[in-house]
Amino acid sequence: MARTDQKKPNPAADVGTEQHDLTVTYIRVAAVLAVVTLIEVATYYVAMARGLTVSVLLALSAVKFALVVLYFMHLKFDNKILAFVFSGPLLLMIAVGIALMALFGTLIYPGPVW
Amino acid sequence: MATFGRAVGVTPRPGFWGYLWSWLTTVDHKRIGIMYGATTLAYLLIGGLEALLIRLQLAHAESRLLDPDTYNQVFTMHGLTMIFLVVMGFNSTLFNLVVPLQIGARDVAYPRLNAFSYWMFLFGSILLNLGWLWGQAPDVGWFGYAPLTGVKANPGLGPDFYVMGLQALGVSSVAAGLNFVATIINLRAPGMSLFKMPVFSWMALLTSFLMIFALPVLAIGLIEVMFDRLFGTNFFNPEAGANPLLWQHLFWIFGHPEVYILVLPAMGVISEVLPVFSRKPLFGYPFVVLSGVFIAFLSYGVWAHHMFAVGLGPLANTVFGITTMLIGIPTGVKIFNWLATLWRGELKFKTPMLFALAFIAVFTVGGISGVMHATVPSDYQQTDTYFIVAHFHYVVAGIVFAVFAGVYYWWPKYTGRLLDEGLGKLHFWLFFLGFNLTFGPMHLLGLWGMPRRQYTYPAGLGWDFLNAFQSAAAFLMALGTLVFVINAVKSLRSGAPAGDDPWDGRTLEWAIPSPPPAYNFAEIPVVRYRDELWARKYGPHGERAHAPGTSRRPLSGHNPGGGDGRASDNPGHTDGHGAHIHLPNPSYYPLIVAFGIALGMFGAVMLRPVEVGGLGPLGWALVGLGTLITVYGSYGWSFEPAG
Amino acid sequence: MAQVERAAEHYTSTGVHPSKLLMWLFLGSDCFFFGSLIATYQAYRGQSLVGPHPHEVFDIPYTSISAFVLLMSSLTMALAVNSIRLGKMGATRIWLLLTAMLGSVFVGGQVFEFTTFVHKGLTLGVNLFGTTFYVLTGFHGAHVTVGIIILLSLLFASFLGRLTPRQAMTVEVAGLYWHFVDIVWVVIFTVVYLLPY
Repeated sequence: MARTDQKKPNPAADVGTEQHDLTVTYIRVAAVLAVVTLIEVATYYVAMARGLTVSVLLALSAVKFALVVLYFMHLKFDNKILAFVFSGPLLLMIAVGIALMALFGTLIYPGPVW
Repeated sequence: MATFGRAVGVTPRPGFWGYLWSWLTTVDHKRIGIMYGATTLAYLLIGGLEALLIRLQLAHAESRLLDPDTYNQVFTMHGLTMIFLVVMGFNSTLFNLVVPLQIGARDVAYPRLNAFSYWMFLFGSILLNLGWLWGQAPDVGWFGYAPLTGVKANPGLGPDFYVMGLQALGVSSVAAGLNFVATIINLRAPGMSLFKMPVFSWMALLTSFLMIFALPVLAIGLIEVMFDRLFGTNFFNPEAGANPLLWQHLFWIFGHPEVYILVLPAMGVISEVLPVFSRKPLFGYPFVVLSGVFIAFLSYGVWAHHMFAVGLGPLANTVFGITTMLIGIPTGVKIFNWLATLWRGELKFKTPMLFALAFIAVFTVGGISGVMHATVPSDYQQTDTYFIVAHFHYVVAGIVFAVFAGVYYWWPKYTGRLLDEGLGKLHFWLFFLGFNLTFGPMHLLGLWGMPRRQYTYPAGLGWDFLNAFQSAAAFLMALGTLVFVINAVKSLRSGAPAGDDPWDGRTLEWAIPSPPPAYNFAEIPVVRYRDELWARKYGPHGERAHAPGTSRRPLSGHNPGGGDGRASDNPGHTDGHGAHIHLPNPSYYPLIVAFGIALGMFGAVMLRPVEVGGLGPLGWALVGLGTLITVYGSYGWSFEPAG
Repeated sequence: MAQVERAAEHYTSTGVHPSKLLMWLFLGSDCFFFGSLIATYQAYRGQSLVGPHPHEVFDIPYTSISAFVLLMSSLTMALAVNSIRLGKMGATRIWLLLTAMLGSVFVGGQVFEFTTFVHKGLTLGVNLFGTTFYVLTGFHGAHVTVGIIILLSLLFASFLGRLTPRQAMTVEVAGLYWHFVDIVWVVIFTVVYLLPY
């Protein structure tokens, strides 16, 4: 039962593993990001109901956010602990932020004072 | 000095300066823990002195012992010291000393970052107190409400030291939080799944998450105050249309998780002490752990209960009233599980146990008054009165009971010596009596209308007797603390040797020598059970704990009742003495980087005009120097060869 | 650097590289940092008593281009990480340099943008918009600047032979920071510039 200082080997999963060339994936993602940005700017200029503008813009930026996080930051393919450790605070802060906006009366936005 | 060094397991190098250098460059979590502990104790005495000054001032109506200005500084610094320096300092002490041992690790994940956290803590604490030298310590309450912190209402340096001192301490806490999450998630001994991990380490994990995710909000609030004061921004300037309530929101979004940062480790201590001194496993371990998780999450949803009377409106007040009541539930769950742990246990009323039991009682009282505050209409009467002061002292000062429980419990492990039981009990009774006689009557005073945060009160309102009584009683607490200091000194000088396992413990830190060797475990243990050490001593279900002939025996390679008696079953005792183990090199860069940051922050305070005590634009030189030192230290840190 | 590679050879309870875990935790905490600044901006949205107001100073085409530049810098950063993982140090250096350059274009563009705003009368202290706008975007710009310094340091280290494929994790962790700073800008660009007032 003598134990040496050798524990169950569990090295960090990404050292010394076979690396695939992800260049094409990254370029595709970047292309989508560019297109979405274009649509966002177009949305800014196209006149439509305020609620619609807000929803579309928020949705589009959420898409960009997600693409960068999942692909460029590799979160889609990494250990779920990392996703947990990032999305927890992200969601918490969004909730707190929404609560703060509600408390200051700018959530259902009444428009500027000027 | 040298004897203390030997007492904590470090052989002093030749000469005083060599010895000092070894402490300045240490990256060993045990030495860092001791430094935190010593600093914390010093601030306990300072904060206690500040408390006694408050009580002396309030002992008589219309007293002029302290003028209003001085009183404001004393009560502000009392709060800041006790919260940020004593309780958080003590939590850091325990995290450093205990967590790596409990999880079977050799050190934390980032030893130099750990040293950096300590130096940042020390320099931050000095920065926070530096205002005394100008006669302008922070005087805005520990909560620093705008616009009192604005440059119009408060042109002196007090709020600047407040802002920068807290920013520095925040950097320390965030660094520590990051380190301990990484450590607890990644460095557990093989076989120790999260649900086999001791509860104290669990609470350390949750507290570390809270530190990382709450302090940035305070940082932003403080930045906004600082920018208003230094650069003329309008964050809290009503003339520009701003709402000073924004500060209260940001502060309490941090502030409520902060009080759980204060209390979760204390609850972890209780969850360790009760089972050992009842010789029974913790009842409902999963519930105790999950309650902690719920508390941590819910703590972000209750902050406006500190603001019921500011005019948020009935909808907001109702929502936060409900969430506040909800957060009482997981705490209640913990308390009932502790009681169930005691039930039918073989109770041993040693000093750690006494303090732990008192914590349960005292925290329950504080929790009940908390639920009373959560009832919004009641709070309209209670808020800003001594009823609130009573509540938070019963919970936060109640944490001090858990602090002492932890100190008396773990002292033997890190010093190799026992504290005197007689003196310990004397300390306990003096403190317990003094505590209740000081803070109990505050409930009455509050309901009778005595407001808080005021330097004096008129005579003849019926408040005179209780105030005098409370002030006298406070000295009992001071006396108890003095007894503790005497006990500590006596123990270090000539206390009885503790042995590895003086309490017949359940967790891995008791499996290695006292004080622990530099490398902690000669071989990292493989864990199979919760309460792994108890299982090794007495079998997986503690079957042999009550068998005849197996009276408690310190583990010293001999275990006739359990295992097969071979030394290799005991993780701390092999013949190798850890000769093959690599430990990280000491480094002076953590100290340098911390100093650079603190100097830069001090420079920011000095940007204030010369008329109020600053250096004006010359402050930028200090900011620049601090930045340069930080950059130099950071590069040195990144490029130096490690261990 | 040496610290990072040593940690990689050590046992971990979860198989997650400690530096990566540390950076993700830090980014989680940075969510609260920027989240609080954005919440402050939103609390005071449209509340300024005097001008200049957003529509009087913003140049959306200009800012769109700088947003695009920052997004492309994320692409070059990802390609830098990709290259070092494939062992191609030459390509890595080029992508690192490009990322730093694109980041500098972004920061330079911001500085120029701010000078035009100041000329139009938008200062830190003139109203709530100036206060909240400059502090939010200023801290973001500071984060980008720190990122540029880190990237240039890595580039420098590679010329000293201190950055090799064995330190790929260091570049990846730096990349995480860089991408985060980019996604914060995605949020700021939408909330501050594009959403209707």
